[in-house]
Amino acid sequence: MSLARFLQVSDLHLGRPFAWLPQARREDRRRDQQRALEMAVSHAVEHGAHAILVPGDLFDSTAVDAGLLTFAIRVFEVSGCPPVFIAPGNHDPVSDANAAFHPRLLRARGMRWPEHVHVFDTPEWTAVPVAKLPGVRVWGRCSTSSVESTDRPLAPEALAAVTATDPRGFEIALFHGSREGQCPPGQESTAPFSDAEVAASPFVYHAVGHYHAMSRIEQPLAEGVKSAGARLAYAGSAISLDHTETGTHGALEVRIEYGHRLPFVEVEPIELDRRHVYPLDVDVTGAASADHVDRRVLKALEVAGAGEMDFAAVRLTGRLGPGVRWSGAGTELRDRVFHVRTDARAVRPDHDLAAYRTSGGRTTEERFAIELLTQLDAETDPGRCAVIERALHYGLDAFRLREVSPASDEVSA
Amino acid sequence: MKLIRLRVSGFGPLRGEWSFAPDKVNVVVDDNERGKSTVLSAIAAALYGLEDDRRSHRVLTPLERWRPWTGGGFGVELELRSGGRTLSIARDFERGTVTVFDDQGREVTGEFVDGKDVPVGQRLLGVDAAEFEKCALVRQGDLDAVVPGDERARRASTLRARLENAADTHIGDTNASEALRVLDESLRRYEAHELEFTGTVENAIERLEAKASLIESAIHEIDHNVVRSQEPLDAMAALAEEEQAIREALRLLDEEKLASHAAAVRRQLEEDEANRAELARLEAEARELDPLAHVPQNAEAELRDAISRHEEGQLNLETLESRRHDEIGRERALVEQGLKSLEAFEGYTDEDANACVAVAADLRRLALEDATHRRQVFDLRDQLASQGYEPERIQFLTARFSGLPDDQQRILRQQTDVNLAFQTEVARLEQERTLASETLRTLDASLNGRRMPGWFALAIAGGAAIGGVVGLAMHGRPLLWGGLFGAGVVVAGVGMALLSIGSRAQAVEREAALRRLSEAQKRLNQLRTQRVENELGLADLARLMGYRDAVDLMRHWNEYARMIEDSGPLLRAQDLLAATEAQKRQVLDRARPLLRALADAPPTPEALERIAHDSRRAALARTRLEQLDRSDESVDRQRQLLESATAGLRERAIRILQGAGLSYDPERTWPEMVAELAARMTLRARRTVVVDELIPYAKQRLLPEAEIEERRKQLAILLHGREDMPEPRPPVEIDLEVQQARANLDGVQRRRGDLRVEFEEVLRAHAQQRPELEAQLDRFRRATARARAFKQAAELARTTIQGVAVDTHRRWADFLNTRVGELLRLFGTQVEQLRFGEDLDFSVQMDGGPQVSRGKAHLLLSAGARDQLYLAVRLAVSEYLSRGGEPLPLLFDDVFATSDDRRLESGMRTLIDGFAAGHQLIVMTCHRGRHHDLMRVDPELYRNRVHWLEVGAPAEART
Repeated sequence: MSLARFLQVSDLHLGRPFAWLPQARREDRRRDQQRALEMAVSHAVEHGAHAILVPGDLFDSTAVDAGLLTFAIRVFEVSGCPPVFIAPGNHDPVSDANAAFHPRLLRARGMRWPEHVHVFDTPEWTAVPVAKLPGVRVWGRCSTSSVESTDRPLAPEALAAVTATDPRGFEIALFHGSREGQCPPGQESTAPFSDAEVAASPFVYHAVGHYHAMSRIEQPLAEGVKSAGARLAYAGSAISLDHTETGTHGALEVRIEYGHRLPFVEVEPIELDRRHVYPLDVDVTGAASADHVDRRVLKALEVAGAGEMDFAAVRLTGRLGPGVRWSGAGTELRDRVFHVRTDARAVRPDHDLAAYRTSGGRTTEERFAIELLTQLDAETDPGRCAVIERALHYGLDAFRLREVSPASDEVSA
Repeated sequence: MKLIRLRVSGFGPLRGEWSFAPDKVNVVVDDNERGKSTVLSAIAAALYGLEDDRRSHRVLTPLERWRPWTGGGFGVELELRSGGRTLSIARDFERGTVTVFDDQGREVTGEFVDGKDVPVGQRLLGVDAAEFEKCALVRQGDLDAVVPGDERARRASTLRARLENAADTHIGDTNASEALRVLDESLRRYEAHELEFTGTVENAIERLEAKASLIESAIHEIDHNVVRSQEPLDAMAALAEEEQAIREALRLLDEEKLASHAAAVRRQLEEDEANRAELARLEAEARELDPLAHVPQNAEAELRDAISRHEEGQLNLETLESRRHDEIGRERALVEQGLKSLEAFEGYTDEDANACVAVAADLRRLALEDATHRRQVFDLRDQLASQGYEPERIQFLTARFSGLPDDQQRILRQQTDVNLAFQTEVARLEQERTLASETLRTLDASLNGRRMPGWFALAIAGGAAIGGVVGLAMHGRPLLWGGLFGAGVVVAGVGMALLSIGSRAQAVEREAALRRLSEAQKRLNQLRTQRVENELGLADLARLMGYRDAVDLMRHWNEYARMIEDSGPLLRAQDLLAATEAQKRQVLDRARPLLRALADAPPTPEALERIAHDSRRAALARTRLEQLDRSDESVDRQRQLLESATAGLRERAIRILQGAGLSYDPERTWPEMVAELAARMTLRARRTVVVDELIPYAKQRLLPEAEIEERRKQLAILLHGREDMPEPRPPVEIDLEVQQARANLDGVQRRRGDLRVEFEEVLRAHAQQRPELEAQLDRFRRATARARAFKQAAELARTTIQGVAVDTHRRWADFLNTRVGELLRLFGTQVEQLRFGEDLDFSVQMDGGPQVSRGKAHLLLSAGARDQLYLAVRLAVSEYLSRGGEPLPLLFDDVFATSDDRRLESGMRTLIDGFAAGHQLIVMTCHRGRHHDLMRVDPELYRNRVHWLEVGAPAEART
């Protein structure tokens, strides 16, 4: 039996603006990205990986400045770095405008990728053998545009070129695509494929990029299958790219046993992001002041174990007493973690809506509340619901507090 | 719900227990400030508790307000009947506890718990505390507020406002108009923090959109810059290819240069082989010339030198002999001729010549000094003559006085001084003597004054003593006369003492004055004596010198003294002239013996110097003759020396020849031998050149063996694969081409570098600016969305409130129009009709009169009528708000305070007849007499339907 080791890292998105972070934090996060890639290469060297697989979105856009490109080239030039296979994704597609991958433009900039780095620069599948693994080939394809692509990379007609498997080794697929039915909200679908196509493809393993959360398709041992174990895996983004990307982020160590029996693939996550995103729901009902709200959040951070390196995505819920205004995190809270983002849209003024419902509607105030509650109950459009709900609270604030302030928003600190 | 009993352990000023009749009108009668109003608050507190929320009661919370004034317990207990059961609510405000028991004695508190609160009233009546207060409590001040006393406040429709409050809000402290105003205000004063702008929400949205649009434009611009940056990228690619081509050309040139280098190496190796052959030839030649190595380097020159000097020596010997006789003879003749002309100076020695020179010098010096002194004498004489001194007068006076002895000259000289001293000192001494005499007189007068008491005492003492002696002498009383005598003695002692003291006083001053007087006198005497003596001496001298008197003598003496003083320099010059002449005479005496050679010559310096010169010449001639006599010997010695030197030189030449390997052959001439030696010396020089220069140089040009090996290897490497290479061009030509190619490469690289900088700068700016712009855009977009959402929601709230308020007001107006009219008729007012509009303002139609607006009606109605009107409205509101639930107990706090007796009667009747059936009524009043009168007027009604209570009465008397 032979063992092939690969390190799969994708969706680095080097050069990401991180506009959602305060200016002072953006550079730190960009360095986190670079550090993650360095760690990935270092891990591959130390653990004797036979190749590094980068299934797309190494860069965040085609406008890659010289510093970033130099870094990416240098990071793969370290001593002992195994062969690197890059399949550009929808964020850094291969095109005449992409001076990071286009060989002629690279030369024009006075740069070039090291010899052991191979960039798949066609949308068709092409194969490159892995130097130290006889019979093992990495097949790759690239995205050629940043717009949504409906090309199905694992469709039988697209795989017509994948032939002549060497009995000594196996074939690996490297591409950027969307697993159908699993696309996270807000993310574009590109190069879609289905689980059935994955099962039917001639590849032993599919290293895929695009989705920023780690996921995989397991293939149980059965007759007629090409491999067992992990059949496809997303390594996810190497680091959290925004406050919605919770959980562990990093790379995958892919180990494939092959030889006299069916290849068996197992993947192991390698954590590269030293910061974590902590999603927290904090009930602020009864808080008597903005400081009290902050203290509730601090308490929740304490309980969750968030450290000063981490992100906190705090969703405030509950009801704030009359006159209590909270417009954002205070200094202590801001200093508690690397970055805190609070969403106070779910916080409601402390009006007893249930009492209004049962009041009988004798006064204008009660009838106003009943009228809007009725509309709210009948409305299905979430946007319209939000408007009605706000109108209800504004009206009641006008009656009760004689003061109306805009509802709270998402606040980044 | 019916209230049965109220027990108050402490609630403000209130403490006690009161029982209420459930089915009667409870009239609580008591004086002012006895706590009637507090009873109503205590009932409300028992039902709903007391708030302690400082946010809504900033100054004083209800809990604080009703804390017992006198301390003690702080609680109430209310017993009531509701829903067919009797409940007892006990609240301890101190502890914050509530307990509810039913008529079975079971605690049923749990039925009323709602979160942390226990709002028993809410559960029982279906209204919260605010509604209970609005419906059930009609406080004393309420009606005043309905129709304020202030005229300006009355102009506003307070009733309408209160109705609006009641109709619009749950609590009743605001209304829809106010809520709409708040919403309008919030839309008008929207704060957009992102812009630091406060204004209408429309403006804020507009500005935020404009700002977002600006940022979008900026983002598009930098994005567009990135797209445009692709253009130079193509140019950069072309330049990169051009650069590659140049590099290839450079590579070919390098190849050619290597070939050229190989040719050069080959040439070097060939040259080295030629050099080695040349070295071998030179070494062979050197070996052939080795025998000449010992020939001295300068043998030829030495030989030539020795031969020439030898020949010169021989020539000198020949000429020496002939020249000797000619020269000596000629010189001797000349010397002897000169010596003959100087025979006169035969006897002169060198000392004589030196003496002549010294005397000549002295004579010249003395002549010079003599001329100088003579010129001075003449000048001084001219000067004296110009001052009026005649030479004859000078000679006369000098002859008269210069020969006088010293003592006589001293008398003449002192006379002037004595006279001057006498004239100056006598006056001073006289003045001093006068002052001393004055001082003495003053001191004597003072002394006499001081001695007077002593003299007086002595006189008295003398009298007393004389009296005592006489008394004793006459045998008088001894004691008396003895005493008198003793007193006289004592007084005498005193007088003596006073005299002594007075005498000693100022003795020192008197002594000093006496001394000054005597010294002045003494000096005067001395001066006079000296003057007399001098005058006597002068008189004698004048007589001796033939003068008429001393005055005449002194006149001449004084003239002589002035002349002597003025002619001093002349006299000194004359003395010097005389001294010079004396010296001159002495020098001439010394010169005369020296002039013996020139018998007739005057003794002048020139003559003396000529003698010195010629005498020295004579001495020199004699010396030269002696030298010529000795010269023959020296010439012989010179000839011998020349002969020996010539022989030595010949020997030396022979040795040189032998040293060069040649033998001397007397048959051969010296030039032949020199030519032979010269030929040998040429060969020797050739050997030296070969050995010392050519061979080392040839060796130096040889490459070391290792280097030759290296070059051979290098050549092999350079030729490897280039065997067919055409003949390379010269390196200079290649270098020129390389230089040009490198210049081209530099140009291309520079252009590409510039483009790359431009391209990278666009990307760098994009990477740097885009995030911030995106963040700003996101911020402004969110702000715009927030503003839009706010506007949309606030406008929806506003529209909804407006619509709902109109409908609510219409309902209220309909109800109030009916019910208030009924109540007013029951109260017996003259109001025929009361009409409320949708705005809850009203108009009134009096009996038979026209419908008038609220403002006019306010003027037409009396205060009592107005109170009744507002009471009717209040009751109608209470009824309206409490519809559908359990009838509320109605608690009235002196609502008929402003009504007349008739209206009080009709009002109470209305309450009793119209409301007591449905509601439990509790009426507080301080008008005990008026209500007793009502009871007397209609005893039946009041006996059966009214329950009387007093707040301040003892517990047993309160029911």
